[in-house]
Amino acid sequence: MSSEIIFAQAIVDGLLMGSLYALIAIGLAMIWGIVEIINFAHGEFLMIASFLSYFLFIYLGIDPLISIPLAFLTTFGLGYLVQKGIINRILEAPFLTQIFATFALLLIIRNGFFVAFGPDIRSVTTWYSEATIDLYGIKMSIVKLFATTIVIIATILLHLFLTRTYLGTAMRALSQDKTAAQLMGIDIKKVYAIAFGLGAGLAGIGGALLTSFYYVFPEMGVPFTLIAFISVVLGGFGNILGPAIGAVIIGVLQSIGALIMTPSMKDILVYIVFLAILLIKPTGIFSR
Amino acid sequence: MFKIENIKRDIDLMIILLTILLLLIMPLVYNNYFFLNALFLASLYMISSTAWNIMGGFTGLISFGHAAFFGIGAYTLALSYNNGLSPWIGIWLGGAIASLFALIISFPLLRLRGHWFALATIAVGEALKLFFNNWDYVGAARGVELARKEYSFAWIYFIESIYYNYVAVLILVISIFIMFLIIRGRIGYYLQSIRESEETTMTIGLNPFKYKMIAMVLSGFFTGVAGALYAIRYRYIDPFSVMDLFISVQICLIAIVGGVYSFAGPLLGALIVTPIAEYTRALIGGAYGARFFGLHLLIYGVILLILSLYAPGGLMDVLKRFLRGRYR
Amino acid sequence: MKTILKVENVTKRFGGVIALNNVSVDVYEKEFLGIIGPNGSGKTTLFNVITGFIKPDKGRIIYMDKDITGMPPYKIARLGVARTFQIMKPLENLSVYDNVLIYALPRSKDVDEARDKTEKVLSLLDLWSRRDVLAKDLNAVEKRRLELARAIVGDPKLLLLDEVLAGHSPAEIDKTLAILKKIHESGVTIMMIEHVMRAIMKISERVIVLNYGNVIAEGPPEKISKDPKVIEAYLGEGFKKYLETNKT
Repeated sequence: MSSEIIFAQAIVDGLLMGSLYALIAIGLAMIWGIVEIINFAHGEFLMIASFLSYFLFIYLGIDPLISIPLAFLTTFGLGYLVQKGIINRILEAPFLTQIFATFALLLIIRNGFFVAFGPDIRSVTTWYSEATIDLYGIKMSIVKLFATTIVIIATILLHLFLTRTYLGTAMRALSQDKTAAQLMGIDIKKVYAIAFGLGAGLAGIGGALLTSFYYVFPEMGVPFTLIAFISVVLGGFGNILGPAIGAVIIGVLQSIGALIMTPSMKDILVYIVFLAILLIKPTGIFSR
Repeated sequence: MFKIENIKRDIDLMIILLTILLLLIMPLVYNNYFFLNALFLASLYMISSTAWNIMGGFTGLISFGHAAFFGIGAYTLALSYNNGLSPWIGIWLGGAIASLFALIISFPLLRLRGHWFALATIAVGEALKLFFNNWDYVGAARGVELARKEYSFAWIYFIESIYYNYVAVLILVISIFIMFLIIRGRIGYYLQSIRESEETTMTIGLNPFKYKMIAMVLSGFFTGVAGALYAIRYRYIDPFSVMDLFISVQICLIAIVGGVYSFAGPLLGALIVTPIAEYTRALIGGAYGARFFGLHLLIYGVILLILSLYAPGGLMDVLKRFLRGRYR
Repeated sequence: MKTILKVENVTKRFGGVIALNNVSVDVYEKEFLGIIGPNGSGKTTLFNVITGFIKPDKGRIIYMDKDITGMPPYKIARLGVARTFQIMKPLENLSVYDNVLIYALPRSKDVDEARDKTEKVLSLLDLWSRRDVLAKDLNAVEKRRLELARAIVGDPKLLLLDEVLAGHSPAEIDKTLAILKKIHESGVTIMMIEHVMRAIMKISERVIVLNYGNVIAEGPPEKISKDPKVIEAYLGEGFKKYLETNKT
């Protein structure tokens, strides 16, 4: 294979993976931007959905792609309840308390799954798991193409929701100006709960998509949470496009990085890039 | 400050003295390897969580990267020990190098606020761990084993583990009292002022950046000392045992559970949390297999969630409510 | 009279809005200067420029013959300039006592001396009985007093007060004014922004009036209260015409 092909292959892989990252990052950005909470447990919602679609496949033979709506509804519901039962009660608390509430959630969900299902790494093999399409020598995994398509559909639906519906408009108003939104008669706590639900639900869709080509285990959310944070810091959380673009850039960089670096160097670089972005990008620096 | 009637009225000082008394007496009462080990770890976490609290509780700089300081302290001790330096110097050298690292990273990190500062500390901690994991001079992933010396007080090398407990208590007493005097002096008040409002703090004529830097350097120093103690006791370290995110989490969890708005909160937290953690980890984990390794973290999570909903001031808050009227 | 503070031709824009337009003010040593003006006239911006919280686009601030333009707030504070905030910023989760103590510390040789100063100021401001209450649990008037206590405990030479009387009842106003008088008599130069006209006219030796970022009048209180430009600024063109037609 020529080096151009290898390089092109890396970019295509990065774009496909980056689109999945985008979905997860948009979810995190929604919660961060609207509820003004850092959701450390974001990757845990992804993991829950992944486990759900894994078990549906193993016990009921339901294809992971079919179980996406169910994964979304489950994580949406959980997110809604988390906001209603926990976060809404500490909205006025110091940010230390808020950070620790979502951190507690991370510990409970991740280690709850650890205790319940053990540290085993599970995976699913479907008829399309290994299938690829060959395009001018570049191989594209069918399942990742599926995933990208679903991500695009979900993002468009979310965009329509945020711009065309009353609830979506309320959310955008809330992220701009809390007081004004209250004056408009918006029930803040309910909108928060739905926003957290949607954010978690997006991570859930990501988790269900991962089931068919990735591994399912209690700590699987860690790298995805990290990447989501980097994407949001890179792209900002004022709109959908920012974190999405951030995520795609990270996906491509990661994929190219894997070509030219050892895995351990690549991991260090991820953190260095994260720090550099944090320090350079002024929007991250003066909020709060 | 240390008059009898003042001590009686000062709940923090009371807890400090009672904790030290407990750490001195308990090893004699119940000389069991497992119990001694839990007490030793509790002493370590008392130092490092109190140090974390100088930043997290008093200054409002939430760090999830304290494992970096802890690890640097541990590595400094291990390497200097193997090169023939007395561990009695090495322990404080560990603190010094950790505080130097704190000073260096404070310049970029202190430009960040709130959430962003917390996220950046995670990145610093994890990046440093991975860096050590690939750095041959410090043994990379193989870690460092402390060289064998003759069993002696001078080399802090003992057959019976109870002696390690008393070394830890000695270092603890020194560290806690230095931190106590600093926090009760003017610097402690300035740090709290910064936590509440940097803008207001500037109107007093103070440079918030300078004091936040002092907080980081102090916090880094004593966390490094705790890391050095870890290395001298377990005599083998690698990046995943002294620099993992889990260490950072444990350090700040103990502070939060104990109570971040009081000086003695972390002592209380360590006294209660460490034994619970060690027992669930060893007893249940040992008996039922690897999956229960996560159990103590699950318990932490539940405790943390309950506290953040009902007592954001931690166990100290609960205690103060219980004792209301007798203490200020 | 010696000037302690000179504001020279200061201009500050926020986007398209001119908050201060070529403003010059001289403040004399040990005087009590009142600053009035309608909402949005630039009063608080003037304070922010003097104390270093905002950098002016043009102009200079001279304090005790020293150019302090663009200095960070903490350095200006060290020179003896203290202020209160219109939107109060107490250290919410600390007690009243600690709030004041923190301000006393930088100018005390040790914590004990700071405690003495704190106790004196708390008694002066009638807050001693509330010393153990957390700042966030104080009522509005007490919070204003706390702001004042923190501002004076560091023995400032120049004290900038931004609406310390807001939320006071008439009886409370008299009490706070008496305290301010005492502070002033101890030799502190005071600049005070205030909306309660009766109070500012009673206590100030000199008053300046700001409107849309311009100084439109300056002089002793009795003169200011009769100045047609001031009446216009406060009550609008229509009211002035009404006054004039009624006069004739």
